[in-house]
Amino acid sequence: MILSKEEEEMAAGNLGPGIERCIKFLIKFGEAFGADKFVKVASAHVFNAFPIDLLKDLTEGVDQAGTFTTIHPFMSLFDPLACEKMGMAKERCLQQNDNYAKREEIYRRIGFFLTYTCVPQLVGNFPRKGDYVSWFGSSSQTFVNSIVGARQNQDGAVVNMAIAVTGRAPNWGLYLDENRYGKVLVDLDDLDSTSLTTTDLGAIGYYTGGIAQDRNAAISGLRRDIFYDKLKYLIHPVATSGAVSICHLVGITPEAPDLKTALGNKEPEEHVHVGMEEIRKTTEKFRTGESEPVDLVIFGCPHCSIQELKTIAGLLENKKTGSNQRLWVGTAHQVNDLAQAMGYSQVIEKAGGVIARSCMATIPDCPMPEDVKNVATNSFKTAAYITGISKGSIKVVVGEIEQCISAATSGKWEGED
Amino acid sequence: MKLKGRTVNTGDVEGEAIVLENAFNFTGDFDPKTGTVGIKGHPLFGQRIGGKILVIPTAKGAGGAAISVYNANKVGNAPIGVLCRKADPITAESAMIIGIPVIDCFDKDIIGIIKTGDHVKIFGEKGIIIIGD
Repeated sequence: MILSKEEEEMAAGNLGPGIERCIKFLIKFGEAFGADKFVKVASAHVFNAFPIDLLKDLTEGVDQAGTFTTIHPFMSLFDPLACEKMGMAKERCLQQNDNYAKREEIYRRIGFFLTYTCVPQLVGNFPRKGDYVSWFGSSSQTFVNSIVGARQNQDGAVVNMAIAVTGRAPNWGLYLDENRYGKVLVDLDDLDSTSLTTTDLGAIGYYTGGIAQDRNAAISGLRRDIFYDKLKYLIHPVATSGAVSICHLVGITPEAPDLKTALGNKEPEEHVHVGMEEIRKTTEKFRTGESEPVDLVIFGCPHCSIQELKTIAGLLENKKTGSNQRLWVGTAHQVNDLAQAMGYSQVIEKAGGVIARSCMATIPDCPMPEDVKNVATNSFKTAAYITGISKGSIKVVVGEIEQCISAATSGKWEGED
Repeated sequence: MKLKGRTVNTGDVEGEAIVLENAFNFTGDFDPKTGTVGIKGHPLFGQRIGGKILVIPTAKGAGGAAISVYNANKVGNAPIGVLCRKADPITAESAMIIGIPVIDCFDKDIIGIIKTGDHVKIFGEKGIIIIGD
């Protein structure tokens, strides 16, 4: 790799041992994947639960992050502010999360912002089209590549941390034009896209990821006026059922003004049609618990926007969750501050809901409260993770926010008919 | 037998090989708590990867895979070297953070040649491996 003068100084150790370790790691990694040089990144978003000794090594002598950096959520029940309400003793949470205070100390020192959310774009980390970034988390990676048009590789936690510390990333993979075109075309031409529900969009995303696997996808036939709060439920599951890094939406996203541009003037490797039948079958997979009592309702995968908190609070006004039902809502604490100012959080909490800064998909990774056998959610990603991690022992039912709230208050799932 | 490949990460080690034929998922197929193969129903389920040379076509896995390999390494549960058809970013990152050799792009297909239990020597700098004593 060709290094700039500053990068040479970093590698020579002139900017301290942490920077030296990070840049040397990135040089080794970059050379293994054919990178010719480093590029400066516009922002980073890092994994929270980093091993403390490794974090100390990589940040030794560093007093300022190399780029604007935000932090991913706590995993599952490990938000120290919400664990008890979610059914995990604080002592146990802190024990398993033992270094969280030490990590925070380092994050503060080097100016990583303590956002604890999977939606960096909702808390001020918003790059432009063409910017190079390194964001942790498969869904936010797909989001930023596809919807924003910033450039992102599927960086793992360590490469990602080294990029955040140095502000430099190896120039390879999806940073390069030629690797960004769609290879698998999913067309919705047979569908009336005006009537698609959020659940339908989630099913389309999940189906697309399964077909595309690790190839770039392009979806055609969506309307321009399906906005962020609905689109995200399509984009996130694409990275759950597959390892898709880019999903262009033809006529909507920045690198896909038209089909030819989205596919780089080439024929797609694979072309599939998706209609109501595919949507129905995909939804069916995550309706294993539809005829049984719902014990837990989960929103916030990805973390809820302020508009969603408004909707949830509106539906919960003067209601209570059932005596056997739990309701967990994941969001950024910054968004929660706004929701408190608006009175939404109070309504949600008064109704029995818990608001947490945690990842709402990886919940079964830590012991789920024993009474939870059936989870309702509006997120295909959550439904798929819970099914996968619990190996099917916890049932799921995916649907609209309204259906989920109704299940949280009555314990019963109301179907569409 | 001697094979030549490309050095992704350097290091000299020798040990017993464990061969898995499908793309290896460092998040789901590897149990870092025991250092063993975690694929239920696989003939090698429960066999140790820790302390051995892992032979795979390539790997995949979630972004946190390298963290799990790093934690596994602290208690001796990580492999001591990785040989693959084509190294992927997850394997490279995981190996580089714990400092074990990775060699890929061999002149012959290692998946057919190396058998589980074979003794393998890795000469990282030169990208050479020797199979058998």
